Amino acid sequence: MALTTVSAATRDRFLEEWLACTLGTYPEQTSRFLREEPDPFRNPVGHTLDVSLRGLTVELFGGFDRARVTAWLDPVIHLRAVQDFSSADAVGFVALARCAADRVAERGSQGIGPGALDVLGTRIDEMVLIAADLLDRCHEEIHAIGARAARRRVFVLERAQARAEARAAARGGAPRSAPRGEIP
Amino acid sequence: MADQTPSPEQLTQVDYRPKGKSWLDPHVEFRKGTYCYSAAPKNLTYLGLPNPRQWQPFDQDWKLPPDWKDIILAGMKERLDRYRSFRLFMDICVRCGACADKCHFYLGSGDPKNMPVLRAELIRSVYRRYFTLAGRLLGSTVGARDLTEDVLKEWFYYFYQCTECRRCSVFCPYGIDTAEITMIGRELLTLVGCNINWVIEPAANCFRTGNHLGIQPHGFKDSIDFAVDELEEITGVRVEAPINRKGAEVLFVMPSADYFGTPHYYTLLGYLALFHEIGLDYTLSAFASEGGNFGLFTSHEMIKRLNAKIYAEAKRLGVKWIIGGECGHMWRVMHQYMDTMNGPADFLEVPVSPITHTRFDHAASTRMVHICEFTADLIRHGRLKLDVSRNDHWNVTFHDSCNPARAMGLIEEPRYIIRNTCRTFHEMPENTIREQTFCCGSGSGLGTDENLEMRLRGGFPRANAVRYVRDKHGVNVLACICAIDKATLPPLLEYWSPGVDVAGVHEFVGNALLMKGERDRTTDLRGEPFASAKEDRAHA
Ligand code: SF4
Ligand code: SF4
Repeated sequence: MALTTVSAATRDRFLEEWLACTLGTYPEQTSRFLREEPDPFRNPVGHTLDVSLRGLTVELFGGFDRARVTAWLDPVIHLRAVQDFSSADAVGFVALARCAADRVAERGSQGIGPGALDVLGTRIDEMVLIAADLLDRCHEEIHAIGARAARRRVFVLERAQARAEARAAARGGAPRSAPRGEIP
Repeated sequence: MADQTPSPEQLTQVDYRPKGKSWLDPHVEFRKGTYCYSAAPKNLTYLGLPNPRQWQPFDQDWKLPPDWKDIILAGMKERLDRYRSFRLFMDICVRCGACADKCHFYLGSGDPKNMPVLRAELIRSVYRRYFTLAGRLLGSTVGARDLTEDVLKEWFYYFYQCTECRRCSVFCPYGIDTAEITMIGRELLTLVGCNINWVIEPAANCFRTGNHLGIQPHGFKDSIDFAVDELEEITGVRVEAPINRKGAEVLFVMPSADYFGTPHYYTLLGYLALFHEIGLDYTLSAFASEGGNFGLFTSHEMIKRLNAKIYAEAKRLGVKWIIGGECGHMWRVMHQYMDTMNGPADFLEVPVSPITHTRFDHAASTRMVHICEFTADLIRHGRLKLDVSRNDHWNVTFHDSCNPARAMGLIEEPRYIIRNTCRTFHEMPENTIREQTFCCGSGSGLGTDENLEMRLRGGFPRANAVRYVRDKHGVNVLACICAIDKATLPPLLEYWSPGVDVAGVHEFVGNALLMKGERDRTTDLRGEPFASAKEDRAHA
């Protein structure tokens, strides 16, 4: 496979370019902070992007294992699903890997050869599709989380009502009403 | 539509980069999931607040009063004269940037206007324009902006994107408290009827029935009776939970979610078990049935009105002092505002624990003690029999809720209780706890379902630290002492750190507490088998 012959230095340059393009999707002051602050707790977004893109780069130039690619993509998609991006922009950072590859390829013999570039392009396209699926799942998750949160707010009400009904059924009568309130 | 379809040639030249926008532009887009719905007119009317009407933030026309600008500027002037802190905060910021990267909303969203210094600048720029000579003369060259409808909408967007958590103020060398600036911003917005339902409805309900949920006294009693029944089923001990009992020594006030929502409810079971076991002479009140004070998120006037009812009840019932439950902003109100607004509560006595005789002198003015202070003192004096193995199924970390931690310095007591009731406890990284704790991302009335996306952004720094201890130490529960946290951390963790539950500190107390006359317990307050019971079953 042409990709395995790409040098480590070229892969590093690709990662650097891809990270820079991805950070460029945030406002300027923010991208500087995301790039420069090394503490993973003071800068959780920058840290997540760095770790995930690193892992994805290894996959892109290596075995491209679908399960591992999904696992690396997942934290970033979780992030971008709730940040101020349209769906296209949320997954668009994956497509930016193409720009990074093109930029690295421009450097001739030091870069990525045309054969390798083709394989890389196909892998990036596949990654975009995985990312789109993950984004979809995140949106579903958010809806389910909202519904469960609403249920938790009426927990005692539901429990008390269930108990009242069970007791009434045992007695053969109508249940006493459960605690009343207006849930905002 | 057809003319927008790109040609094949255009398709090959797709620019993958998202379109940027200038952050200086005041125009904000109210995208679904990132804002809270407006206050319903009936709730504004109930509280006597201005401009009740049907509108939503995404509407073009906000139906502002014709003289809205004069109202806001007059309101600003009044507050600049009344609150020295506000004028100071407007004047002394040197834009050093120390606060810039400290806000969880900035860290999670990357939106520069969520940097505390810029959040404050939204209002400071208007202050400069209308209240300083340089601003009046030189305008935008000195960072002054006209007050326009777009600016007002921008205020609404960003002041309802600040949880008033005060993390930024910890890092400001001048002590500028952006939370206080947000409070003034919201007060000004309220003058023209721009506020959110999740704040105003609880405030109106609280005013009407005594609690956020609008539960009436008989509903309150039903709920408490139900908890008493369930506690008996679990422990075999029948406890008493008196309501509106005149002449009791202590009034106990908790957040209403404790008797309605989960996981709050297990904290309530813990309180009830504890009070029974130590024989506390106490009463609940069906009218002061809410510790929370959503006035804090509306206006100073509203804080005062809602806080007063707790003291009115204490007076009516003739108690000697008050214990407050696991609530967040109730304690901010109590420690920072109560005394000047409604205090001193000198018709009450300085709290003295009837069990250990400890005198809580720090509460000499408010006469109200935090349940964690009370319980930690009981444990310190060896007055509770605790079987810590009953919490062995929990591997605990502790989230310092913003208000108890930063507004009242309640940092060690909950940890002391956890360490004495649970055997496995791991702290999150130092720069995410104690005074530097990260907010849940949903405080100050922002915990609505429609705002979930924004909450998940803002809560990411907190959840990220939880995920770290989950992965490193196998932590499976996040303890906290705030009702908003208990409601909003479960969704946050489901999204960012699945497998970590949320619990109140007094739930652990209720699990570990050995009660006189209890049955051979095999389950915790949630009805889950103790770790030892699970092992027995495995060996059987
Ligand atoms: S830390 Fe204080 S002085 Fe510095 S920019 Fe922030 S608010 Fe201004
Ligand atoms: S008070 Fe909290 S939410 Fe508000 S600006 Fe400061 S850090 Fe951000």
